[in-house]
Parts: sequence; structure tokens; C-alpha cells
Amino acid sequence: MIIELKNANVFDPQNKVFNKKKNILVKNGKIINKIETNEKIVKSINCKDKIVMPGAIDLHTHIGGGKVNIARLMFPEFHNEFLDKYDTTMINAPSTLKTGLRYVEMGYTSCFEPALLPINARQAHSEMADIPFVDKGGYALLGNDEFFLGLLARKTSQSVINDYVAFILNATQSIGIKVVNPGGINAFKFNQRSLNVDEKSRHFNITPREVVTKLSKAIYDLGIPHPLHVHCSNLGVPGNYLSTIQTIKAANGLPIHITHIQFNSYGNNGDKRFSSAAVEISEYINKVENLTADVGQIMFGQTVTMSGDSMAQHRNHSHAHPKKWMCMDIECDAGCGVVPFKYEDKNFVNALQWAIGLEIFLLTEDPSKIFLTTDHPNGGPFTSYPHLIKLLMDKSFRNDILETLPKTVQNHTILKSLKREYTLNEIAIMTRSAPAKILGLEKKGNLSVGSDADITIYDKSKKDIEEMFAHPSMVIKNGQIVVENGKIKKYIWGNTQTVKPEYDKSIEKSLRKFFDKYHTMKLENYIISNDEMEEQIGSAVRINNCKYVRKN
Amino acid sequence: MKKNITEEITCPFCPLLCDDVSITYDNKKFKVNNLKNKECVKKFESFNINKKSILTPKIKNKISSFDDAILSSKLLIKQSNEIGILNRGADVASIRSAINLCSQINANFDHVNSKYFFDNMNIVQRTGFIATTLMEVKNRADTIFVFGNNVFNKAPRLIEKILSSKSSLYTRRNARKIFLIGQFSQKDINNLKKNLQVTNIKMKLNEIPQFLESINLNKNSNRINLSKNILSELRLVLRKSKYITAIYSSSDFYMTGISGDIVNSITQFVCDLNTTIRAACLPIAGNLGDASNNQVATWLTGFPVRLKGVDGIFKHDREAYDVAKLIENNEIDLAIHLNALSLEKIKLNKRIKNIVIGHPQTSCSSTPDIFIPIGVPGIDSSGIMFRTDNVVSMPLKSFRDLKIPLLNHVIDKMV
Repeated sequence: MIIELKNANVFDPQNKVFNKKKNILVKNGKIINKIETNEKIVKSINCKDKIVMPGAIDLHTHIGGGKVNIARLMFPEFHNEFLDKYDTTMINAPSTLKTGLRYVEMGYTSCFEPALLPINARQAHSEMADIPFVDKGGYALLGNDEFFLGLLARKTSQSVINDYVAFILNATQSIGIKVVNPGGINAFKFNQRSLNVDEKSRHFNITPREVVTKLSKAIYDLGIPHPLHVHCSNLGVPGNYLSTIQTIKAANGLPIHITHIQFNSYGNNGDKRFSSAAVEISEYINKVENLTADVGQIMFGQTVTMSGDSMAQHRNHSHAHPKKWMCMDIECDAGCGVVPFKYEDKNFVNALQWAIGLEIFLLTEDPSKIFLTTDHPNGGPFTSYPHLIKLLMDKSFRNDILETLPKTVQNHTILKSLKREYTLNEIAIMTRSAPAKILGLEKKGNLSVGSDADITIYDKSKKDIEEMFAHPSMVIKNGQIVVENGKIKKYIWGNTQTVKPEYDKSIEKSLRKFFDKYHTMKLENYIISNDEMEEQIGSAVRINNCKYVRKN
Repeated sequence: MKKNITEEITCPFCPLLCDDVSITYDNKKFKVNNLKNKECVKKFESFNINKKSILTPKIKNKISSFDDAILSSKLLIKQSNEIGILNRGADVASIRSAINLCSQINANFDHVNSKYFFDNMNIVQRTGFIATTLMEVKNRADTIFVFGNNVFNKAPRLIEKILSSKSSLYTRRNARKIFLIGQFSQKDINNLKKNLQVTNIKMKLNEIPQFLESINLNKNSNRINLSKNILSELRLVLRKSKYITAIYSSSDFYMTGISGDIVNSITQFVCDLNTTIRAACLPIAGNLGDASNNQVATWLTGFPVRLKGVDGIFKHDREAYDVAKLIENNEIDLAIHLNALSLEKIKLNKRIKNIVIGHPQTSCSSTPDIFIPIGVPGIDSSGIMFRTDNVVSMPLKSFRDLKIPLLNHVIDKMV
């Protein structure tokens, strides 16, 4: 079927198209530039009063895997639509079906799970395969697993580490590598309760800096498009901005992505010993060339935090609201913690966290270096993105909310003095072209000929920008109209985006030995093949290019 | 006759899902080559087919084609007002299909083991919980408490593969301390004593909460009839331990009438230990795919069992959608039994209609209205199942082809 979008007001940052009138043609799931003489346009859509952008991409959202399912289990009240007091906004740990529905209704067509434990990869992919509409992918968690830490402790060469990283990406069908509290989750299993960037872990005698240095180098050497995705040490601890800067430095100038940076941008000044370090952090983002970050904006209200950072989650469990929580040590591989939390606008710390996130957004000059996330659901549900976009685009709306916060908070933030309002161009960059670029998704986040026809059409006439972004009038996924006039038209399922770097297979020999001796499963059963992805798990694999083939 | 040997097969018949099974298959029978545990071998090999006649579907005990059996099932579904689907053992793909069917026909959905799951679920939904997994226990645990009476029957290779494993990253097996708390058989004790330091502390299962309170490092009470020496020795062991694990199976406590209190006392004991040292719980569950059932139900609907589909939305109620009870009380008019893994005889209620979709060896207390034989996941089909720790999901391989459909394929055709 050929679809034509006529007279569209197009925002396609990768092609430097900003609010230009264009016609777009879609055929067989792709964008084409012309139709053959014997072909007919089946559906022509007048987009005169519409804004057309590529489908949005969420590069950090917890949508699948063990911790998400624990959170679902923990809160039956989030799911019971028959309850009188059922709150439709409680999209904190939605079912797979609701996840897909809510994303596509907002014009998101690709989403990435940032904490895919290698040992739990089969579950994470199975869950994500059941999310309709969107393409998905995962970042495999490394940096706390016994095998990797053993390599580091034995001062193994970088090339062997590279082979291990490449093996994990292949075996777990992932698109990137994430490290959470580098070395800290493992140290917690040895009863260490904190680990600073240059502090040695008691058992392995390794610092978080070494973990970040080795992993970021491996990713660079392997040509993986997405930089090392880092959840820094000391998450949530006042004064942690210093360790965040040290973590960035640990990459030695190689690409690095700091995730939910808001939670790692805290000073410890002032009478409350909690302050904003957004200025220091955003200055750093502005000046360091290979550095990107997503914000992890908090939103006021009930949520449930879920993280691989069992050290931090165990520390925070006393703040659980309501009082229930779960932590887990997982297969000498990683850990996890699920702790419900309520962000209160009248609470000094929570209100300042809200302001810090916005400060980082507004102080970071280049929108291709900062990404719109709430670290769903840790800072708030992904369904709050339209509200967040309005906060960024509308200064008076932002300031009106700031006015309602405690006076002490207003004295601790420069938010009111920030006059910047994001433009539609900038929103398109930070939610489309930039995430596609740092994930290496060449066919997504743009409207180039040959790219995937994932397109979102917004109604320009809607006066409220939040309403416009919340309810696009049409969403096209893989060339098919899936949302029309805000209603679901058709269910389709996306693919799993991966990378498959080459590596020296001899690493599997030492891995097999390690598995046979210490694991509780065989190496062959740990590896997830493309066939298993398609036939058992239920999602076909799409392999993205690595920038170059590693030289031996 | 040519014999095929398949290695690294996952055994789907207990919560451990061991994947080191070697099978020889000669197109008639298969044989387990490498397991020392006779119970495991017996269970696996009992899925051999002795007569071809059991491979055909039956409608009212008369042989039919698969298409006719499925058509008749669809008709029964259409004619029924209230339907219950009872999972007696299935893999991930079949559970996905069953929940989809449940949503399409507004059926009740339950697992035969769900009553044992609620005590653990209460902990997650109401209090704090620190859990661990098999590999952590094998490599890290220096002190292990096992509570109950039947854990080692539910997971027959737990001792061999985890507790007394020769290889461990951080503990030597002869230094590992095992405390059996409850009423364990002499056979279990002897098995453990071969390689491990075992202390058997015999008590009634309902005394476990008092026992744990008496050894709690943060409290100073003796609420159980144990000598002061034993209690202080236990406290000393706890203080010196690097990683303590509490293993239990909540179904062991079911008959005490206070199973919730017992599970709560164990999990709270472990949470308390973590204020100063490291400790975690390892519940043993996952028999007949119950862990898989809850995982899949939870991600698809937001709820674990028990469920009811209502016009595309799901309701969850532990009491109202107890399918076994609905069957017993004639509150449904059609029961659909899914049985890909269990050899236990299915008790049918003759006063309602019954469809049994089960492996060929399935036996029932009376003749079902429709019986459709299906392949066994892990023998006749590939698939995925969740292990006891709810973290690791294992791939199942197929090595036999009986030319009969799989459970998920049959269910999908009923939609």
C-alpha cells in the first residue's frame, strides 16, 4: 500500500528540515521518493494543518525484564481497571499491552530497555516481544559480573575484554552495554555498602573508574554505535556531582553516555546539605565533546523505582512508599531492587530534584547531547513526556509550577532565571534524530528515502502543546497506519534492534570452562540465537551496523 | 536402528530445570544417559510412548481427527456460559496462548499450584523481601538454612548441583554449614552429610517463627525450647557468616494453617540480617511451570494468577477465580485442562463438560468430553520455562517428533 502525506509541515532534523512543506511517500514500510508509473497512491492524507516528525525514540525506559515484572506483581492496584479508585495515570509498571498502547498513542515507535541482565535476557526479550507496535532493544548490563571483574583483577588484555563484551552483545541480542554502579552491585554482595569512583572493592580490589575505562574502550574498539551507558556511582547521594564528573573522566575522552543524570547532579551545600549542581554538570556536558546524557526528570506523584543498583536500592528501602520493597542478588551477574516511591511537591528534596532536572535541560546548549527521559518509571511514568515537553517549551507554565513549590526550594534553584524555551526543532532533535544517531539506528529517527516509515503526525491546531504531543492525530509504524484520530486502528509488532560485533571465538573456550564450573546453566543454553528470538521469544532481530570491523 | 544422542537437554519436570541431561533416542524410545539421580531419570523416561493409540484425539472416547477435536472444542466453548482454564503444567508459549484464549472467551484462568504461591506473593505485595538465585547460593553461600520437610523431593538435584557442588567461587563445600530446620527425612540428612557440615534442628514447622525470633541478632529472646548453647552457637555462626541463604518451599507449610506467618518470619529474619551482614532467601517453586505461569500472566495482564478475562480486560481475584474450586462447586459449565507436564491423574467433575489438552500419557478419573494429545515441551517441542528463582528462563529443546501438535498450537486454533 502506498500512502502519501501531502503538504506536511515537516521536522526532520537529520536532513536539516525544520518546518518545511513537503510531501512524503510511504511504501512497503519504507519512505520512498517517487512512485512508479504503474503504481497508485492508495491513501493520500492532507497534512496542511499537521506537523510531521519521524516516530519518537525513547532511549531509556524500563519496559521489560525481571525487575519490571516484580514491580507489576508488587502493585495489583496499578492494573485493576475495575476498581472504583483506579487511576488511569498510574502507568508505572504497565502490562506489556498497555506499554505498547500508551507509547504509540504518544507517537513513540521505538523504545529501549536499559537494564537487560545477560542472565535474564531471555525473559526481558520475551516480555518486550509482547509489547505491540514499537521496535525495542536492550543494553546488556556488565561491570558487576564475576567473569568480567575476574578479567580485570587478573589484568587481562583489553582485546580479551573486547571479545567478552562482543560475545555478550551477540549472546544476549543487545544493542548496547550499560554499567550500573560500576563494581558496586558486586561489592554489595560482599557486604560493602558504598563504593566511590576511586575506591577499591574489597574482594576484587578494583575501582569503578577501572570498570568504566575498560568498558568504554571496548565499546570504542568494537565500533558499537551507542557509547557506554553509565548509571554512575553514588546515585541519589548529596554531593555526588563530583563522582559523576570523575566517572565521565574515566572514559578518557572516549564516548560516554551518562544516564538519568539528574539523580547524579547533587551538591551538598546549604542548610539542608542538599543542593543543585546542575550548573556544574551542564557546563561539563557543554564542554566535553563525546559526552551525552539523558535527564531522568522526576514528576510529582506515586511511582515505583526499579534498578539494577541493589546497593542503592537497599540503602533507600527505608523511604519506600508504600512500605514494601524487594532486592535481589542475581546469578553472580548483577542485582536488582524495586522500591515504590512518592515524589511530593511539598518536600524540599523532591521539589529541588524536579528543578535540577529542568535546569540541566535548559542549561545544556546542544539538544543532541541531552535526551528527554524520566528514567521510566523511576522519575515518573513515560506518559508524562508531553507534560515535560510543555515544561521545556513554555517558560510561564514552568514558572507557574515553580511558584507553587516551597519557598526554600525557590531560593535553591536558578530555574526562574532561565528564560530558554525549547523550540519544536529542538524537541524533534532530542526525541528523534539524536537518539537514533547515538544508538546507530540509521533507518530510524529521520525521514530519508529508504528509512523505516515510522512517522508521527501532530495536529497543529491544538493550542496546548502538551495536548498536541499527548495525542497525535496519526501514527504510522512500518508503513502502516496504527493510530488514526487518536484511536488504535491496527495491532502490529515491531522488531528487536541489535548489534553483532565480530570477536575472537576463543573467548568462548574460557567462558565454557567458567560456565561448567560455576554457572547453573550451560553456555550453549545461555546464548540466544536469532532463530530462538523469532520462533520462541517472538521478535525478529534487526542487526545494526557497527561503525567498523575490529582490527586484530 | 540409528540412535541419536542429544546433549545439554533441559529437564522441564522440576523447578531446577537442569540443562545437563544427555538423551539417546532411537525413534521409539529415549533414554537418559548421564543422571545419577534415579528419580529424575524415572520421571523423564516415563514420558516414553508405549502405544500409538494414545496419540489420537478422542471425542467422547471415540477416535477423531485433530481438526474435528478442535472444532468440537470450539463448539463446546461457544455453548458454555462460564469457562475455567486450569493450567496443570505448560511452557511460556502455551501460557501466552492460554491467556489470549482466556481474554477472547472471557474465561477464568488459574494454575493448579497457585494456592502455594500466595504466601510469597504476600511478601512482595505487603512487606520487604531479599531474594537470591541458584548460582549465588552455589558460589557465595557459606551458611544455609533449609526450612520445611519436602524441599529436596521438590528439587531432587538441589544437593548435588548447588549445596554440595565441588566447584564454588567463594566457599569450600566442606566449610559450608547447613542447618536443617523442621522435619527432614533421614535420607535427606544422610545425603547432605556425605560432603557437608549438617546440623539437623528438629521442630514442628509451626515453631519456625519462634525459632527465628530466638536467633535474631537484633533481639534477645528465647521463645523456643532449645538449649541456650545451641542458640548462642547459632548466633555466633550468623555473625561470622559472609552470605547466609534461607531455602524454603512455602507449600511445605501449607498444612500448618499458618504458612503465611512462617514465610513472613523467614523473609523478615533475612531482611533483619541485612542490616549488618548479607543474607537472602531462595524460595523453591516452579513445579509444573507455575513460575512460568505467574511470570507470563504478570507481564501480559499486570496480574499473577488468578484471572478472568472480561471483554479484553483482566480481573484478578485470588478467591473468585480459583478454578479448581469453581470446578468442584459446579460454578462453571466447561473446564479446559492444560496438561503438558504432569503425570498425576486429573480428577474430572462429571457434572460439567471437560476438555483435556494433555500429553499422550495423561490420565483422568473419568472420560473427558474431548481429549487432544499434545507434545511435551522439552521433549517434543522447543520452548522456554522459568526456573525456581524466577530470574533464569531456560530454553527447552525437542528431540522427538510424534507428529502431534503442540499445546500452544491447539489453543491458538480455539480462538
